Amino acid sequence: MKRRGDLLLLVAPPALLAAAAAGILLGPERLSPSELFGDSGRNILETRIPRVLLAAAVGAALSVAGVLFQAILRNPLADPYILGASSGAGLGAAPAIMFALGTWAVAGAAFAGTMVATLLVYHLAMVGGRLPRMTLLLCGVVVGYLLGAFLLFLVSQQAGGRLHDVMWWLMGSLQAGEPRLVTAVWTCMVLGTAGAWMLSRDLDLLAMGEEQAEHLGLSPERAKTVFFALGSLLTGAAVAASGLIGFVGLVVPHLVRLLIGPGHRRLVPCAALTGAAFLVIVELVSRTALPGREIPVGVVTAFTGGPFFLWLLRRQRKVFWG
Amino acid sequence: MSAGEPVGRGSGAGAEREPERNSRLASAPAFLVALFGLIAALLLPGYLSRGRRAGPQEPRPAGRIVSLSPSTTETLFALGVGDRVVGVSTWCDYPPEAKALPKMGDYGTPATEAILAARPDLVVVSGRGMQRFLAEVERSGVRVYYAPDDTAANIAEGFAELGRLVGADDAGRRLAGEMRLAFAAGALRPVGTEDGRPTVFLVTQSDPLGTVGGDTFVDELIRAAGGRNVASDLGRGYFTPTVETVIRRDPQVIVVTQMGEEGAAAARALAVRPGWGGVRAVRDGRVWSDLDPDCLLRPGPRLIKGLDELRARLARVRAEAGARPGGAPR
Repeated sequence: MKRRGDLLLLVAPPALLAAAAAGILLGPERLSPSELFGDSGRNILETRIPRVLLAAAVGAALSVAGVLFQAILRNPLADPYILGASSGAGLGAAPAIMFALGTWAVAGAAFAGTMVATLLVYHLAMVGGRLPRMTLLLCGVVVGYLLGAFLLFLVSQQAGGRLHDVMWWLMGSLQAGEPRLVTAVWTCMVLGTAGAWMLSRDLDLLAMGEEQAEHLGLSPERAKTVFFALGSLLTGAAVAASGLIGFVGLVVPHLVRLLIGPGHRRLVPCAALTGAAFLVIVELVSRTALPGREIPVGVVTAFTGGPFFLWLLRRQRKVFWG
Repeated sequence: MSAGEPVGRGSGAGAEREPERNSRLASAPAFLVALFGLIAALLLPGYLSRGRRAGPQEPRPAGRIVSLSPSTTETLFALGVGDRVVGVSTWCDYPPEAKALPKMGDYGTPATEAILAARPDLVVVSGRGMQRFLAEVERSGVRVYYAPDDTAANIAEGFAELGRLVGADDAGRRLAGEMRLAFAAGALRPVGTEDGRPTVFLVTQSDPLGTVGGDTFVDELIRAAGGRNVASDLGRGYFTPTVETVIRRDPQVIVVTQMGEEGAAAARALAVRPGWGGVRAVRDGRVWSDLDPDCLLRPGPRLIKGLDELRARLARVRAEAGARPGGAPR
């Protein structure tokens, strides 16, 4: 498994670069490279590059966040949105979209919404200075439903164009409206991923179970808090820039674990690279699959990734995760 | 008979287990039958009474009208029967008198009880989207008119039909005639001027970018105003076009359908989006956010006004493009 981990670490960066090259060179407008990099195609190139960059950052951020939440909760169904982050982000973003406050306001509101939901769950789940896994999970899911109800209420009271705007945001979009937002997401992604990677030993211990972790000298409560914060930062950044893109954060960690095993020292960087490459490809599909129109990214993720993951799961022919 | 033995043993073991499994399996079909029976019993009365109320009713003109979409409210006032409108939706804001009328739900969800309490003879709504929510109103015997919202011809026909329903036949026919005339004017251009028509990209939502396809009345409006919708062939209805294709088609005019400060902000945001700086409309400062979107997107009588204004502006664009050497569109 270790060898396979090293192999994937060797293969993944070129794969990501290849995906990025495809994302930049291909698209609904068929242009030769000389056209694309010449004067006539400059406009097109300017739209593709930020999209590819944003897709890579969001894919990596969501995948690493998924790894973190799966380790904290020791639950295979955990994903970046499981602790109410998606509803919080939606509840933040929806009013900003309805009042047409602009890209930055929507991004900021979504990020703030994620953080507020996360803090709320954290405080509600805290029992006597401890953060029991099941309490955390239940609090997260229920807060998610609660905020989701507020969100649906807001949406139900809207009509016409604004309603579409909100619905589209909920399905995710990687149209980079603001170049500096791409930079901001990259910064958060790199910080969060580096943090998770440096603490990968603690992640291993935590994933083994809290008692063992404590025996081996880890303070599980502190570790959970730190990883919770890192995961929320990554999720918030991704959601702020691209709306709700599902599936990536749930499945990419599992996919990579199936390939290279559960050690986080390799799992974290491999998940980041794989998630980035995956979302870059998904973004390319979302703008080329139907002639003339774009499909929401959140729709394409499960379409393309689901069958592949199921095939891999069947091929392993063994009981996966318990 | 060595082969017979395992079979015999197998069937013996099966017989031991059989009773338990049988009892469970036997109850499953019975349960399913009961379930279907229950569902059928619940649905049947509604199904049988479906056609009953749809008898021949060609009643006197509606005296009390509830209008549940902005466009139908505008049509009713344009027909001169605004004083008979007893309820509107929260989105009905034109003409100003409409704002003062009792609100009976918003565009997506009608307040059924408030509508029924107002004892209307006629409920009017744009399009079929709300049919599901109005089933109760229809069942109670109130006539519901779903005004067409698809093509300009059908919308015009809807004006005439609504006029008939409210006893304003002449006004309805006149309004329909004006509408048809306004949209026909675009088709009456001299032969050979097709290529000179300014290309237009109409933005219905900014993130992700949304626009209108070739099967919408808005596309007809752009054409009738002397423009060419660059997204005509890219999709149907209201959709999200591939951004790079739109950029590649290099529209001369971009119409942002938000107004005031909001529209100006949306126009500025579009101009700084990666890839849009080189588009002709942005370069030439022709990102328009000051056309009243309600006159472009609401399938009501003000479409005529929106069409006239867009036509006047596109004529200027065309004149300027023609005057400038090398400025002629591809």
